[in-house]
Amino acid sequence: MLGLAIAGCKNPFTHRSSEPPTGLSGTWEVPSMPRVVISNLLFAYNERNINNFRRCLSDSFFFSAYEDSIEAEQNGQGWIYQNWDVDVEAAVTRRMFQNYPSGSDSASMNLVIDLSYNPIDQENDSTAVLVRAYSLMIVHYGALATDTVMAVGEATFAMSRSSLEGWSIDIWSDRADLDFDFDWAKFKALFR
Amino acid sequence: MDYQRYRRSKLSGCIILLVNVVGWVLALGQSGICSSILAIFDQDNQTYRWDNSLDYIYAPKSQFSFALEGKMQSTLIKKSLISGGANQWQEDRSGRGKLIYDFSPRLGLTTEFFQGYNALGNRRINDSEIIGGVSYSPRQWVSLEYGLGGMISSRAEPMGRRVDRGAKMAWKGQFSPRIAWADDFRIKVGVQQEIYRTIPANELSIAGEYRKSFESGDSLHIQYSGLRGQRDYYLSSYSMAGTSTQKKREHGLDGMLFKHLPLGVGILVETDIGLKEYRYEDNDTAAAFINPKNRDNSRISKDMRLRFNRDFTIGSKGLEAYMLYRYDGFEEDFGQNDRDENSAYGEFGGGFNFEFGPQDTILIDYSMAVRSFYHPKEYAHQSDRDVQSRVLNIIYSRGWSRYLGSSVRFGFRDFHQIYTYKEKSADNNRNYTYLLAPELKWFLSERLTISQHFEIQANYITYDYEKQLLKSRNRLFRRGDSKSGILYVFSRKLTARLEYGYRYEDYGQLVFNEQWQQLKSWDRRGNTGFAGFDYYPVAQLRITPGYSFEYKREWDHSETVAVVASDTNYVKLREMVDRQDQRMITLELEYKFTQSEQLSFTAGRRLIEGWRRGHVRNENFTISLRRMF
Repeated sequence: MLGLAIAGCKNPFTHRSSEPPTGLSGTWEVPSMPRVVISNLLFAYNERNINNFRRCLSDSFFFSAYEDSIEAEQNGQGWIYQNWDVDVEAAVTRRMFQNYPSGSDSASMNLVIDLSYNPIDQENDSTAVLVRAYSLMIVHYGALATDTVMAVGEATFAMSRSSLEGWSIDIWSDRADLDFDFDWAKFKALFR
Repeated sequence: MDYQRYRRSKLSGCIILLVNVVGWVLALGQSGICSSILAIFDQDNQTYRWDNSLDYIYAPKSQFSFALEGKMQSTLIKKSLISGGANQWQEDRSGRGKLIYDFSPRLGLTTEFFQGYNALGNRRINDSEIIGGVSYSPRQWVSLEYGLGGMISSRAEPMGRRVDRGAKMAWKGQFSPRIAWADDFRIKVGVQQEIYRTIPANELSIAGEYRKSFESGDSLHIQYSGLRGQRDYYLSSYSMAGTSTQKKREHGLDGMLFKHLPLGVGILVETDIGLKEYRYEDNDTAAAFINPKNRDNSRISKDMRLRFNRDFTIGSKGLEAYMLYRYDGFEEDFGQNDRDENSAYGEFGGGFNFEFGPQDTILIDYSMAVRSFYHPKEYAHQSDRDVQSRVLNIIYSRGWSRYLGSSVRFGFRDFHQIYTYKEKSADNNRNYTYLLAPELKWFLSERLTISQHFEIQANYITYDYEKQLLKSRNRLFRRGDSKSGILYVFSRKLTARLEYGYRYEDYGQLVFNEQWQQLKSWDRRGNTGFAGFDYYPVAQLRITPGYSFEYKREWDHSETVAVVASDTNYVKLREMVDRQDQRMITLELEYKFTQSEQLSFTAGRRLIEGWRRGHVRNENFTISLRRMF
């Protein structure tokens, strides 16, 4: 009886079954080098793949945007950039992906990151700091007009390597381009 | 008008400077209580930073004390090497002073002033605050505080200047009655109000804590905190647009119970339950890119952890075992169903640490977990997903003799991500990682230690719905590391370290053709080395020079077809695509005046020559002075 009862129980540590696919898969490589993490992040953004995005971040991740934080403090809403950890980052990005789904007729979002090396990069055996210029184009298609906003700036990714998971981002800091009022951090903050 | 602003800015700077200078003079001359001073200067290719801070508390009489707190930080962020722009100075300065006079143990008076200045580019914030307060303790278990003062906040922004003047009022009460069945029981209540005309704010907070330790070793701790508040803020600093209002509600309940059960089992139960709710009112939506109302959100979260511990004795050997179960989850409410997401997580694990011989120890940890994300509304189901993981770690250590020790680590991780609906399930994949890492430490003499560490790792990534055998998306990554080290103690004053490392990595398609095979896409090899000394010419001074190098080479693999007569041959090509040589010299100096006073200096130069990166030279320099007393 006990055996039957146990056999009838659902294993709480099994996953749900999935439907056979109709769409395309995401692009992801083993993060064997710091620069692969950046390209994984780029693909995860443009393919709106939240699982692949989350795999780019370490559990101790945090996000900072010092210049935007000062502006937020100035406006009396300094809390927006405070305590921005991996859960906040994943939740903010998921909401962003849901607001700008792939192939939407009403809105689109496209990220471009310059993946080439730059002189400031520092890569050591188990830590690295990579600085990359980016531009994020956000378009809202209206019946009468199209509203386009560009978020442009420079992102600094401090990474570390763990033996079982490879490279991942510990600290992501964002710096706005002086010629643009709007950057990635400000766009992300809209979904916090 | 401009003259008044100039005067106000100068006055603000003078107050901050005065607090810092007076604080430093006092801190270096008079011994305070729980005080510290810190001065740092550092620079690298991108930034210069000066950072001074001080905390100083002085109590010349039992009734009178004063505290000074100062911070002066200046950072020069040089123009970006990528996107250009201009150099930017960032200034953060503040000075705070507090005078406390106690008429009696029950009644005291405080006066507190604060002056803050933050600047970055053309943004400048000046904050001034002066608050008078009274504290009253009618009973030993009750303390009440009331503060009232004025504030001026001046914001210089790209579009103009905003000045807010107002009053600040705060009530605080703490009740800590002695209760026979509690070691510590306290309730705190606080009310704070910032009375600005344009951006007012108010907050009510309540917190309670109960703590009890029993003679049996059991303990119980319960903590609650909650707050409710409202705050107005400016929508943008790039326009003179209006304000929005944030209303927030936060509650958190944490509990911890440790109890000894029969049969020597200990149980630890920890729970956290929280509610965070934020609602926004759009006083002016004209300037907002997204309606502030869209930020409405609330989240209820719960986290429960259960851990059993038991120590066993097998023969005369000790075994420490544990088992754990964890459940957590959250539910979101954004007021817009398509943005809500709920999550549930379950984890089960256990392990033990067993010293089964005089020189042998084995440690095993295992856990399996599933996190599920699901969406309350059917039309948002595409992102419903599960992440299943299993992790195993085994470490076996053996001390062969007092001269020789070794350990072997085996690690396994299975990470399976599953989208449940067809729109995204093509991405479902498993990532298996295997790791084996033996290590040896040989203490040849009191002077000489040799260490050797090897590590091999393989990652297999297989897609659940992959149909193609030869052009599959399945991948294999392999890595091998070797690290050797020599530590030689010449004398109590001089120790030398030598290290050498070699790494091999390759990556490629994983195909099944009667057996699993790898079609290599690239491989990389790297050599690293380090040589350095720790030298103590006198006991207080440590000098550490070091030299390190890293040489990396990377090759791409491809295949070409060569047709000779009627034969078709596949020729494998291996081509070097990158080489990078990095050398670095470092120097560290540390002088300890006393255990609590320290001056340190570090400098480094890094030279990189690479096909992709070109020639790069980085230099950094840091000097710092700390004193704690």
